[in-house]
Amino acid sequence: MAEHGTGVRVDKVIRLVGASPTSWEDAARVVVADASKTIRELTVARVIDLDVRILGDDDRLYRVMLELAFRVDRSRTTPTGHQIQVHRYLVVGNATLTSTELERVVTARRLRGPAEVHVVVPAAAEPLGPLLLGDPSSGFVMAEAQLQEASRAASLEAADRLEAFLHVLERLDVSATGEVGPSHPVHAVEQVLARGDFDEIIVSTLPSSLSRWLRLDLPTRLRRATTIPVTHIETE
Amino acid sequence: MSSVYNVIELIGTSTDSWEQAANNAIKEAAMTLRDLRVAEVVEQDVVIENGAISLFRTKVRLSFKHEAAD
Repeated sequence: MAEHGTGVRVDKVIRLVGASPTSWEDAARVVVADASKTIRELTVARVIDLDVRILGDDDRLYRVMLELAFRVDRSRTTPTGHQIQVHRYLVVGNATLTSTELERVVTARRLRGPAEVHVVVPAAAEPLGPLLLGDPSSGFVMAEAQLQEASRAASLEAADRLEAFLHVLERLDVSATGEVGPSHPVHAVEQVLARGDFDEIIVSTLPSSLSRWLRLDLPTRLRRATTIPVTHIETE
Repeated sequence: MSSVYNVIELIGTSTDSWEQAANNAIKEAAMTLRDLRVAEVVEQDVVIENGAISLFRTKVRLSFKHEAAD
């Protein structure tokens, strides 16, 4: 506990909330699993707050707020022992993830140098209820908790597309991670940005006549929400 | 009659829970200290290895009566 940060440069500190119907320990596991999707170097997480929501007679929700500190480190060691610097890209997409247009853009980025891509597919069922949503004023971000049955099918389809795209990235020699995020694309991106850092956001959508995300004006909203360059690709 | 108390802090660990971690710290303290009455949880954290929790840690503050030499 006292060894927090000693001798280690910390670039970013985030707080995440997790919830579990069984225990605080499970709630903490939810947070760590979620954060580990984008953060490589987590070693310690400190408990900031614990509480219990009483939902009914035997219905409890254990919540834990964890603080995670980590380095934003772009240097990687290759299998041959060389130190390299990587660029990191966030790809946001769903139906158009495996388009040749997106593949072309990623290939172009790869040609600039070693690249890492994190993919977020905004298609997960919403968390348990409005009580669990993050509190934007305090900057708390709700970790993905249980999925509801209702939109399970859409999530599963999204997971299949994600997996297919991760294979494409592997073929392009890009190291990649991915997740199915909240169905609202702006929330999904904000959640990822809270725990990772990127050089560019690449948004892949259907053409404007078909795209629900373009009706939300997603590229503009992302440009307003972040200082990271946003590239928009429209695919048939 | 006035009393003097010693206060120490111990960190217990467990692979299962914060509760067990606190118990482990108290058990350890009870081996050498008499008259432990209250343990206060001061801090809790987790150790993460390869993206998963490997240890739950609980720091407890224990007070016990100072035994004057007489």
